[in-house]
Amino acid sequence: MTAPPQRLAPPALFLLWATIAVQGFGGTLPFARRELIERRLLTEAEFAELLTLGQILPGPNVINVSAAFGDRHAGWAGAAASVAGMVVVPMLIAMALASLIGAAATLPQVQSALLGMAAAAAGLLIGTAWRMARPMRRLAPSLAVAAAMFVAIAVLRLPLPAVLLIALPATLLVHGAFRRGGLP
Amino acid sequence: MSLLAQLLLTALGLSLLAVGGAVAVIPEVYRIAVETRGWLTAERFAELYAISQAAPGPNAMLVGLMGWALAGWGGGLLTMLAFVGPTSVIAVFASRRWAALLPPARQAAIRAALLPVSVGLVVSAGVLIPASLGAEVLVVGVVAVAAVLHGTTGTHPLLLLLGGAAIGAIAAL
Repeated sequence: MTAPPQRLAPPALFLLWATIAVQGFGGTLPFARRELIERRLLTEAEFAELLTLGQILPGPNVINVSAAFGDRHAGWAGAAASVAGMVVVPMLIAMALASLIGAAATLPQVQSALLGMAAAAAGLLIGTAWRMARPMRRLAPSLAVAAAMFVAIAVLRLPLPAVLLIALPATLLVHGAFRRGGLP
Repeated sequence: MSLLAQLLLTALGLSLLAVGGAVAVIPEVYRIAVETRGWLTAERFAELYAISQAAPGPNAMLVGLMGWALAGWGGGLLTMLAFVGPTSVIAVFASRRWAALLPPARQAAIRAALLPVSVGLVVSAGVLIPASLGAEVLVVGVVAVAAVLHGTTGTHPLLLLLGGAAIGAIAAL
């Protein structure tokens, strides 16, 4: 891994990722892309490479990217500062918001508004799934895996660790990720 | 074991289950917090999820807010750090070493294989939450409208959340 030309210290990394995180309504990915590429901290290709890594590893994608990015600049301290920047300030905002709403939630209108907001948030999830599924909408093996996951989790309510133990090898197999040599 | 210790252990475990992104763990958070441990009611869970989406930041803050609801501000921050800690350590090791060993074609195949797993989990969360709210006509209507607008148009997510809140408040009058 080549060292980046412009090295950021941990405090600068914390600020960079906190700036990205507090802009991120409904996902931080577009804001991470914009900040990192416009400030010439990464090229498009480097960003795409880091994001792929963030997506194939477990954990929140952009937080994985922030950890790897921070490590390239300042080692473990840089990774810790970047991840803290991603979560600390947004968590303080979310907890303050939750406290304010909690103080008002004795009113029936506020309770009903929260119910409406939760319903909209659930709708966002379904809309997100539809967008995420764009590359696989015509691929039978992918659709079968998604349907099986839905049945196991939403219908049968099985524990996720047990489901993943079977689902991960199965999906890697049907998508040819174990194949030697010529990958599609 | 204290409640905070149980929360932190739960968050550490959830971390490694976040396949393809943090939203993948929402059904498991629901199963643990509402059905198995009884930490939150279904309504409280749905509220915290809505708040996590209305606040700016990564998609994973539901886990931190669960910690906040049970163990206060410090508990919330610690739970969130426990949720992102193990996977961040893995990300650092992976970007230092494994990435060079996995050729781009194989990385792409792994990503394609994980995508339907995440999609199935995200749809499950989108169905479990309204089902837990009682699936009334109004709830299902808001879910459907928000899903179609978010899935097919560029409507800002915050606008959809505020719209849902407004419809809920009007319905209570």
